[in-house]
Amino acid sequence: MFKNKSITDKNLVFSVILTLLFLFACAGAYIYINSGYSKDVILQKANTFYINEQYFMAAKYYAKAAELKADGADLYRNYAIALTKLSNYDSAVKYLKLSLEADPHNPETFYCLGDALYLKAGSSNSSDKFLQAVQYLEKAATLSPEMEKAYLLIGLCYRSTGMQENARAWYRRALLSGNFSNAGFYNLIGHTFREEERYKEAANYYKRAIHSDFGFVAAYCNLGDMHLKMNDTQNAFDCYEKAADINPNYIVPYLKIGALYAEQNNFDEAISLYLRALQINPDNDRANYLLGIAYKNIGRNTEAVEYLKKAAYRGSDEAIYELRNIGIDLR
Amino acid sequence: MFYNYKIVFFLILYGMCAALYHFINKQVILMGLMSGFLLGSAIVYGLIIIASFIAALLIAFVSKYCYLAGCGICRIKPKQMLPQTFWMIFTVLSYAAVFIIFLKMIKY
Repeated sequence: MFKNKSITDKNLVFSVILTLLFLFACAGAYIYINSGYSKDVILQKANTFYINEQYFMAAKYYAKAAELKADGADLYRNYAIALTKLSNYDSAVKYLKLSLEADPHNPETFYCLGDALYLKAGSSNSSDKFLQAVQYLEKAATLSPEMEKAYLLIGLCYRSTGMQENARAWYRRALLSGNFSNAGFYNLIGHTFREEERYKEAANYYKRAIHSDFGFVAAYCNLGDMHLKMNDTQNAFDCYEKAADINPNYIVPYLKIGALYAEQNNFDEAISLYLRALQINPDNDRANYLLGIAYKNIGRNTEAVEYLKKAAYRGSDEAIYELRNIGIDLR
Repeated sequence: MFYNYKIVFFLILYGMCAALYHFINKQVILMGLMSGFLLGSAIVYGLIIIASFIAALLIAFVSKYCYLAGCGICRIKPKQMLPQTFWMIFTVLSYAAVFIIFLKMIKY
């Protein structure tokens, strides 16, 4: 490296001195810029970014505020929520626990902690994390019995671990509290039975949901699904039609009725219903897929491919598979 | 010439890029991305060298032709200075890139 050259070469010395001056300039710039920062101003900017849902910038400024020794339960909680939005669940949990140390009885913090653990559990598919989330969410619900989202998330956590009975217990507790809409929680209890393949009990609760709210369109569709599972096509049909009557702009009943016609090989009726659904939401991947399949079944391959492609571009894996079977690869 | 021991320059530049990566990593880590320090600093180092190389090449050629045109107008015999010119521009641009990225990372 130093062939025939001395370490005291003037050029090398000059270069090193220049480099050292450069490094001092950087250090000087760092000290000068940092000394001008006020933690209150940084915190205010962080809160502004947070309110505007610019979570990366909010997290960046909260981190700087924390570096400048700003603290407080709200800071830690907002920072943690920003980190949750950035999918940085581990750091979010850390700062939420710091927020709890500063404010041990805040139900919102318990909820956010449960939410972060729930999202972490979902990404890593860990039952332990779901149950950890439940512990914090139960605390949130105990501290704030009117916090509906806590009950909902507790139910989701238990259902994700296969503990439908526990989920039902919390949904029933929500019903007993009298603070929330009965229809929604009856519907959710119905889902837990559905997940256990107890279709008669599920249907029972979907009916209760309907009786609590006759305009609850999703409950009619769910009830229709249960009738189908119990091989009662006529009642299923009636439920879907009722849903479509109540809310003509809800796409699901048209797809369900269309599917029933398609099963009976009445593809013309099915197609008219799928087209009606697409008038409401032209970008629905399921509607495009079903329409493509219906056209394929009556031999109208051009239209079939057109709608299957639309479905594929909107995220339908089944459409991609179907197109590959036809010999069309979208890659 | 600045850093006629070129390998010393590259070692020092790597050191500066490693320090720069420390500041970049503070922000990258907010998104839960955990790249290794060596890999991250090597990526920053590589990007700065490539960008500075391409920019230095362009500026060196432009300045070479401007110099040749000036020598032609003034009827002076031109000297062969392209390698030294290129190296000087490259080193200046590398340091400038480090400084600009550093300022960007520490500014709030």
